Amino acid sequence: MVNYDETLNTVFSALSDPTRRAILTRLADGERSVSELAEPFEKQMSLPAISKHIRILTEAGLVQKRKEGRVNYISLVADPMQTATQWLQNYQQFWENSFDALTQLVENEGKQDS
Amino acid sequence: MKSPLVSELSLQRTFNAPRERVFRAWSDPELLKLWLGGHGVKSLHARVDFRVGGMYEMDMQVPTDAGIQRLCGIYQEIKAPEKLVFTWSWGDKYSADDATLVTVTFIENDGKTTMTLKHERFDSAPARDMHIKGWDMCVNRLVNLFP
Repeated sequence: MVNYDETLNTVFSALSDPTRRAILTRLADGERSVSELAEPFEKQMSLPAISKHIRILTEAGLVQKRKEGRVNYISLVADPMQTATQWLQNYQQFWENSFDALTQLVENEGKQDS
Repeated sequence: MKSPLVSELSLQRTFNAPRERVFRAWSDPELLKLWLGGHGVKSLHARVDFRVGGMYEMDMQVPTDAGIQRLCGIYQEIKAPEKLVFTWSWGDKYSADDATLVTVTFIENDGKTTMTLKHERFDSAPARDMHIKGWDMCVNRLVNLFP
């Protein structure tokens, strides 16, 4: 359980940064080299800074690295179809849990009124 | 192009309560805080501007997580106590591009209320692929508290 929670925390903190979210958005179109990923940020940030963001994303399991010669390529890990299905199922569960709580609220309130 | 197969979900629940009461649980921020997300999810600072074009904002905290997740959206249609339509967006700032759409209808019969909820446009968000993993985890976390 501890490990599971740690994984969640890693993912959350990985997603909490706008630069990392921008990197993930670019990767949604496909694999990119590290220098390609750094390009839009070259005015604001150094290559080592970008590499650090990529490392955080890698550790969170959101992206993976592939080395070809001297070039590192980065890609998204998620299988979109599978994660989309999972996403909906989790949303469904979110609503079911909410409705359970709502049932208690509106039905108990009724007893108090009468 | 995004797949149309997984772009919406629909749920129904019947409550032993009149529909005015069920509807009020959506419109009153103090009540909304008590149930949205389920038991154990602490909702802080619910703000509700309950009119078409008005915005709601809720900060949700789960006990095992130090972070607070903000949920917000804009009311698209309000027809008390029959129907409610609003957008749904996670994040500190409302983003129409990332928002999904929730439609709730309330039908009363013999003092019982059947509520139908449709949550859709999951495929309309351009950044969906990047959000999926994170919010998947987020919702998972909520779910795991109440197996």
